[in-house]
Amino acid sequence: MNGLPIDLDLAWESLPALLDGLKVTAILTALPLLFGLALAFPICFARMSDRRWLAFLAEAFVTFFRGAPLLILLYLVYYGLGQIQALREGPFWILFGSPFGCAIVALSLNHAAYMVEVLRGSLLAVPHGIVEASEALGISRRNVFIWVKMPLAIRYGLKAYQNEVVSFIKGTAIVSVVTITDLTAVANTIFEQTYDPFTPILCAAAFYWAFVNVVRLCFNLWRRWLNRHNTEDAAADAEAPGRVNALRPASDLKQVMP
Amino acid sequence: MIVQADTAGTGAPAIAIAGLVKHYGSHRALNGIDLDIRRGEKIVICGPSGSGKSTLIRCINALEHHDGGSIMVNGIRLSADEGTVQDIRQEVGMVFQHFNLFPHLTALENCMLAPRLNRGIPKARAEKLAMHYLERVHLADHARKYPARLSGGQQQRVAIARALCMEPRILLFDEPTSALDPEMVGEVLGVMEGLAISGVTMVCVTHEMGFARRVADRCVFMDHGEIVECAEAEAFFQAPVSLRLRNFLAQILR
Repeated sequence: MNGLPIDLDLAWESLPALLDGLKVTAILTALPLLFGLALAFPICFARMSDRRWLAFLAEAFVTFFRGAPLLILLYLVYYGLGQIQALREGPFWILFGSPFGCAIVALSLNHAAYMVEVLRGSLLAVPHGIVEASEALGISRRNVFIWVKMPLAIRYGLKAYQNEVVSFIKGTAIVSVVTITDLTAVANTIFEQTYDPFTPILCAAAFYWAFVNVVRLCFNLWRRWLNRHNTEDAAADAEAPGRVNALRPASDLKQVMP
Repeated sequence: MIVQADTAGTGAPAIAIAGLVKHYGSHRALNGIDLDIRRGEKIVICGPSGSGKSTLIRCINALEHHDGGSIMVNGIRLSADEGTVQDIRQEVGMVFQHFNLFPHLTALENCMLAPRLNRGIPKARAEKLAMHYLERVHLADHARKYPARLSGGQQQRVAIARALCMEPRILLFDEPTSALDPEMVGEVLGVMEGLAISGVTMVCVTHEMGFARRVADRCVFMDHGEIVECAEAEAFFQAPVSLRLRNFLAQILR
């Protein structure tokens, strides 16, 4: 030991294995984010439907999958579903027979349940007057949703979505309990082989940190692009400060310079 | 295109309202409204708050669904049927008190959205159309700006241009100057007066009595969900019949 809790040589040697683990973590993040979001849309529509029974079913889904701890959910899918003989003999066994498939299913259901609420909150935040204005223009409901409601909802919900994605990434560490060698599992294996608790775990933590921050930066870029309608002219004003007072009423300046 | 066939007809009213009733729960917001509006006519509706004037014009383009009576717009009878509502809304533009521009789109894009989505007009043509109407409201220089960067008066003028881009035969204004700072009221009223000359049918809920005098063919005074008085502008202001209107005018013209 050189005073540091980290063995740099071991860290260097572990790098390829950890990167493989990171790759698994990244896939286990990306696919459920995709499937979960795709699932969240119809469930969210059902949740907001005027039809009581449909809204009730959607709410039951959200309550169950948001309430169930991810670990329990994963056990249920991985060990529980395997007990059903019909499933074992059916075509879905390709999915439920592999730990990876089970993890994707459990994570997607969990993510979908959270996203239903994120989506619903964002859609409800769209000002009613703006929706009315679109309707008054004779724009069909479908087009109002695609061109007015959704673009605004994305802007309102982006922060909540980012929170959900970040905590979801860290939540994927749980898949190691069903024998998947994600980043956490790789670190754990190295610890068991070397009895060095710090090096692999701290390295894994660094990878998670980097991953989460890359995601954060992507979200920042996305947000900046979406909010260009609030910032674009502010930038133009900064280039030509002399114009500001002449062109803008005072009330607008407050928005530009918080 | 139902509408075109109909306009070939004789002097059928642009809007024909008969026995219109609207409830909000147990509250009777509109209590049997009868009103015929001729093509090209300019109508100003005024009255104390809660008198049902906004509800009335919001029924005309089905932003509110009425509970009784009938509304005919350009010969089409308004029903709950989505297709009919859509047809009517193509013909009826609306300008709101709080502008309700799309904040994520530039002034130009605000104006282009409905023509592109409803009529499938190609981008270049929609842009030309939008620029034409932005020029008409004197905002061509601000076409590329987002609503957050425009003053209230400018936003309201964009909202007017946005409605005009659908080239409606009827324009509804729901207190278009009530949310504006006083110094911006004039620019919006100026644009509306310009429109009045163009021959479009206008129904305007407003308390701008000077505007009503200059522009309106007829003025309507509402109270408690009923039309109390409806008269040509001159008579409306010079010789109000009902006590309620006289009191209202005395209050508002002070």
